[in-house]
Amino acid sequence: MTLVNNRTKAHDETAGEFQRPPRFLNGEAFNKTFKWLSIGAALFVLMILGGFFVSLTIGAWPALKQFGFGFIWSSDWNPVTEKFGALPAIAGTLITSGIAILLAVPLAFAIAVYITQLAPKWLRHPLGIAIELLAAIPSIIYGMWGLFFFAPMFADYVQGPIINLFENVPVLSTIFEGPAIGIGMATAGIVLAVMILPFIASVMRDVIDTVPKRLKESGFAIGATDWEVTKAIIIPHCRTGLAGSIFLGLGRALGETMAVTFIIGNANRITASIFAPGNTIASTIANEFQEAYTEIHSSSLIALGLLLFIITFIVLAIARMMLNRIST
Amino acid sequence: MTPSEMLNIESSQSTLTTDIDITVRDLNFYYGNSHALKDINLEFGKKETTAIIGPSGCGKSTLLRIFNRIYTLYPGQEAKGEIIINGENILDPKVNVAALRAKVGMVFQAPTPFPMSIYDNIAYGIRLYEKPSRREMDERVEKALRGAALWDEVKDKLHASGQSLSGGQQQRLCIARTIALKPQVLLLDEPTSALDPVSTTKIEDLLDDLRDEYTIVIVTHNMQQAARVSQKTVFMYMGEVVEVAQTDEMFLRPKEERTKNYITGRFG
Repeated sequence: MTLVNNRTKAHDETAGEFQRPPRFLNGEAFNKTFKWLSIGAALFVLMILGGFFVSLTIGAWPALKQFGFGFIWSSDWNPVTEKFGALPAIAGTLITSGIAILLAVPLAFAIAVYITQLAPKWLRHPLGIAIELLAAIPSIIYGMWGLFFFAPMFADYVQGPIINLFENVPVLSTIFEGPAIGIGMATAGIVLAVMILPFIASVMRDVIDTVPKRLKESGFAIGATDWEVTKAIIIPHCRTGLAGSIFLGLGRALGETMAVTFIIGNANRITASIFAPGNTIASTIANEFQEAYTEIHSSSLIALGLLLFIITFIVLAIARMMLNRIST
Repeated sequence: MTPSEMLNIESSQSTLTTDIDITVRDLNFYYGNSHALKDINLEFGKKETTAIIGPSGCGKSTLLRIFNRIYTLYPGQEAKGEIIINGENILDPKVNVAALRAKVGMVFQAPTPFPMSIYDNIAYGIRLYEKPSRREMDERVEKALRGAALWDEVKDKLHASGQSLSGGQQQRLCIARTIALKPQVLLLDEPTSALDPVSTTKIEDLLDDLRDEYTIVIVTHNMQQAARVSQKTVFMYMGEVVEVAQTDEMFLRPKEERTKNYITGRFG
């Protein structure tokens, strides 16, 4: 009886049984406001995304109207004659990103396997942090490093010997042709590879970590080695996630601007040689925007931007889809 | 040797059960600083099923994981003592673990089919050790699947993913994968704890069939299961072996107070 009495007493001070004492920012009204504020913030992101697309399309319209789909296929890029085609920039973007992916993926995979499977426990964390710090280096620094340090070294010790080596070999002599000047698409691709390496490696590490311990153990339990378990169990088990991490890296490589602009040589032409200077979509925009005096020139640059926006959007969407399948 | 002496030997053998396949001597196991198994001495009979029972954390899975040295995957885990299989101390670092693991197969708590086809789940392990011809491989795969009582259910879809099977079928696939390597010892770590009752019955029936061919060591939480599938039972508690006996004996007349308390459900 006394217990019941005490309870009622305590509640008497705050009125009804199911009421909380009134407090600032604690009422139903604030709860509603809070809900709508977060909905608004979330919608704002979508609005920005849509806004980008709309404003890019509007800006690119004059170029798209004048050149049509030919804008994508044409390799003319001449501000003087006011003829603009995106093909050299698209080709440069694909070639540099392709080189970057080819170099970065095997390395990133090896790193991820080492961290998750082989490294002693005390080394795993520091290695993971080192990789994340590599990802935190601003791209302008990669650009400077590429231009002042890497490109001259690359020209002397790699380009020169390779050009000489393949001088008389058909096909290869065309791919590795030109003066060994250091800057060019190969250099840009290599620097890009270093830049996207940490992203791919750390996502791959997370993906590989999702392989159940028991599944790996059963591979070892039939006598498989580390490599055999990696090849037969880990890779097939997280195939989609690994592909997703590659697309994530590709998305970054496609859009990277500063570092590439420094070292790609900025030439609007298509060559078969990967040692030749070239241009990517992003580097073309960065280089020419300030000098685009005519409407059609700046509109063409915006059309390039729209193209890059669409390409990276698709690539990153594919990456997301693949990575989401892993986490479920 | 006189006929009567031979008779004597035969009769003593039948009471002594069978030959010894695994001998554990003064085995101690450490997870870093924690002393998980204390002075274990045990013998496992050849082609006999031994159940290891005991409350969670008593060290029964730990013990099982020493027999194929799977614990060596994890730094900081250390076993001291001797485990003799075929006259060799398998804890000797010179022992080739791959060869050991072909001889001493393991099936895990939950089914772990490899991410490949049913056929390849079996063939993969065989290929680690041998290069049989196509026809030979087909025969080996079929034999293993028959051995695990799975053949009739999968013979028309050998190239479907192993992960498309039901849980019980997956577990039998894992058993097939293990016996395909012609092991001598089968280690089963709570093989039915993730399965429904029907699948559990099938696995237990299978274990009954496999008994004549393999030395089986099964860790189980389920005392009825231990009673159903094993001839010998080991009761462990807090890292020590409390009692070893013929299974009927242990469940009818446990000698130790702690065994009695556990099997009557007073703790666990």
